[in-house]
Amino acid sequence: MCALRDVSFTYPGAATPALEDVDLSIRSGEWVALIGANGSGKSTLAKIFNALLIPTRGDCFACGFRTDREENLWAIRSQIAMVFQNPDNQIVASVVEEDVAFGPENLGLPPVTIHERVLKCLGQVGLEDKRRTPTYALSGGQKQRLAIAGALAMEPRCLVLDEATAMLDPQGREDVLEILRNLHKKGMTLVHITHRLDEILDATRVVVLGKGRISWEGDLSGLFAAQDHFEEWGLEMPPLVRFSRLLQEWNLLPKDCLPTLKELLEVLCP
Amino acid sequence: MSIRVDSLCHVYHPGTPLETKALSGVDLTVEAGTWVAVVGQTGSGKSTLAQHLNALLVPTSGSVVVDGVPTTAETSALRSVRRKVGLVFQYPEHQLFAESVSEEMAFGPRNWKFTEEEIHETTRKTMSLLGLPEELLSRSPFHLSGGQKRRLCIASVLASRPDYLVLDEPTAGMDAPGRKELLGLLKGLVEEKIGVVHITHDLELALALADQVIVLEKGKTVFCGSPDSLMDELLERPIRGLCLPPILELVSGLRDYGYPVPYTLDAEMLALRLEREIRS
Repeated sequence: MCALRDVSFTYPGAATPALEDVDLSIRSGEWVALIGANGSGKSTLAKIFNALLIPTRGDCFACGFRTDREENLWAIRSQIAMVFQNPDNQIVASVVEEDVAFGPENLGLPPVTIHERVLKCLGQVGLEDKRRTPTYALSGGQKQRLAIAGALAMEPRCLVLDEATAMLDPQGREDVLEILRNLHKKGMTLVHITHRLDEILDATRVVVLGKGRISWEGDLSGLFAAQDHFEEWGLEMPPLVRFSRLLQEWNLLPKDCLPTLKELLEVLCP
Repeated sequence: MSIRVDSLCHVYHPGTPLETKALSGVDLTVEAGTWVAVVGQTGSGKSTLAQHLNALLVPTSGSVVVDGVPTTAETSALRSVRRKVGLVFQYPEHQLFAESVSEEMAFGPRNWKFTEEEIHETTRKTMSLLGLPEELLSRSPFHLSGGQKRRLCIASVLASRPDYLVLDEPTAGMDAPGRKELLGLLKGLVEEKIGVVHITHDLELALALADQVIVLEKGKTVFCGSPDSLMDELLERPIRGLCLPPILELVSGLRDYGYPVPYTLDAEMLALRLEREIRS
């Protein structure tokens, strides 16, 4: 889906590069959690994926297209969509359905197709009944779901979420995560940037960035086993994970039990 | 020394089709040297309340009084309110505006007629307090990382030396060490007799750190009191608009099943107590 070869990136006027020699491939259908301390280069990397930033050194291929060719931008941006932290910066229309239609309208699609897409995407994020609601009247969580619907309306193959849940309350966050789970089941490639490890329990791969380089790469159990590095990586073990790991050490909990509330209660209180 | 909020009501766009009641009948006292957490879902009125504390909004009815000065006072008196109450916005991009970090830092103090020497001094001190290296001074605030932008927002408000600090979701988007550092810093400010109002979705943080917690739902107060009494109440009955932190949900589930484990936010303690119960 995306391949970075020895990618470095330096912001204009900055003394040190934001990314340095990053080699990373993201395969179709993966759910990659991108984590790391503040300033480690996560957001910069996200913007490299869909050609919002062009590497100062090295190559980035997105969906088979080189990102440094102007003529490829259209194809890349329509296949790799981004969702940011603040939905207000992404919502362009004053009514929900018009906002979702904005992308497909720009693609020049026939009205019938646009209408179908709008309905489908609003359904995917659970906002069917808000079709005609003014966007200002949505809650923060609903706005973020609308931003996701707007991204989905371009029918991308990959969704990059840059701290898309950071500002949401627990319910809003869970709603977004549920949408991601469903999209992933249907084959969507996801790149999910977050500081909260309790949000990445469904990820198929974890990439840790540190000071612009990849510090670690592996699966979730490998990540939780690398606890000694957490401070250096700017990470914190969520309480339920700490609880589970202790019980697992004492052989009171099977090793494959996910540290989610539901699974813990199922195993401990059968 | 306190901010007193009395029967505060706020209506947006009154008399138009867009009329919305954002706050109704909210009471709150923020004493100097205390930490007050405001929690509630998105849309519960938290940010509206925050903007009332330094007179960015004025009450539709009720009152907000800062150290004896009501926020409905005339402009000259309002200056003292805005001088005393520093407000850090939820989104850094709503707050940052200057071309360089040094201008961003100097803007507040210059408005309050600090001398150039004082501005230099407060910039240096506050930036180091927030862990922002001086080499950033010439950079554009908009080229900083997410975490640095957030710290700069807080630093630029603290630079004017307010008596009260209102922060809207200050830890969102911060990594774990950054969050710990910031919370430690806020604790230090409280010890220096600054009143901190911390707006957050994170009930765990509020329970662990605040002196007083107020829970808003649809613009109304559904709880106001100490973290301990909130914890007791949460376990008795659900409070509208509040989810239990996962660790407390786990405790509830374990207790319902028959394990007499204590209510705690401490994962290690819970694991130890459960081990004892299972083994016996």
